Amino acid sequence: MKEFRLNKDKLKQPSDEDIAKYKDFASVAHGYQRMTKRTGKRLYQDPKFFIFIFLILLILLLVYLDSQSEGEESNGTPPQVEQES
Amino acid sequence: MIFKKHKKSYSDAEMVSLAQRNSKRFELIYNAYFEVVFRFVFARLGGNEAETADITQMTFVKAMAAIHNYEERGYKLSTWLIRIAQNETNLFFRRQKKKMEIDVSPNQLKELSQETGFSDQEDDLQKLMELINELPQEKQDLLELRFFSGLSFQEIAQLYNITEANAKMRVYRILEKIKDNFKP
Repeated sequence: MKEFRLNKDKLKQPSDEDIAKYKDFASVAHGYQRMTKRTGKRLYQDPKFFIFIFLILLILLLVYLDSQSEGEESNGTPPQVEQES
Repeated sequence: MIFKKHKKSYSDAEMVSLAQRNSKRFELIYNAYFEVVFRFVFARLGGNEAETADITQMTFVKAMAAIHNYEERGYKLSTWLIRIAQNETNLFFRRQKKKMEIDVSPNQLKELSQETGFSDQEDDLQKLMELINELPQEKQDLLELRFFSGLSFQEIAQLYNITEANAKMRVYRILEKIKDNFKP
């Protein structure tokens, strides 16, 4: 929030020395590094998360393989019916 | 024999291109425009030096992060930096819990008072200040850029991504509104 105020005195202007005092590219570069740096661990770097994902994928694979083998059984040759002589 | 060190001066396009390829070269832009941005923010904050320094630094941090998205659209690099500084300053004002008082000199009000039909008398200038303070933030910003920071209509247009005619129209509409509200 701001409010303009009439000031009849001469307004302060920063001198070249004042400006030079605040000129510091190192702090800008540091701020940039902080802003662009990834925070926290990547998910794949977390061992617990990695094991969790691994187990999920393993279960899905087993379910898939199981459903495949069941399918093969049902699509195989039909059981032969013994004919009465 | 006297050896003189010549600092190579780069154009805006060259500096941007170098900074886009290597972020360390952003220092060229920083050195070229630090003072411009500092003075702009200083005027907007009414002379608060420490806050000005913080906002100026943050402006350059954000500019450095966004330099890859910078596209030359026929306006100066300084205008792009001023736009970031303008946003940062507005963000700063929004975060302030207490009202910040920004000093304005009668000299800065001269053109504005002429445009709105106010006299140079102190009472009139005080009334003009009150009317400006009653305006919404966006309208205050436009008047501030035009009359206190001394930006041209072309620069204002570039800041707001509008045409120059549109910038003029917006400013003059605000001036009309002030005139209408002025009851001497």
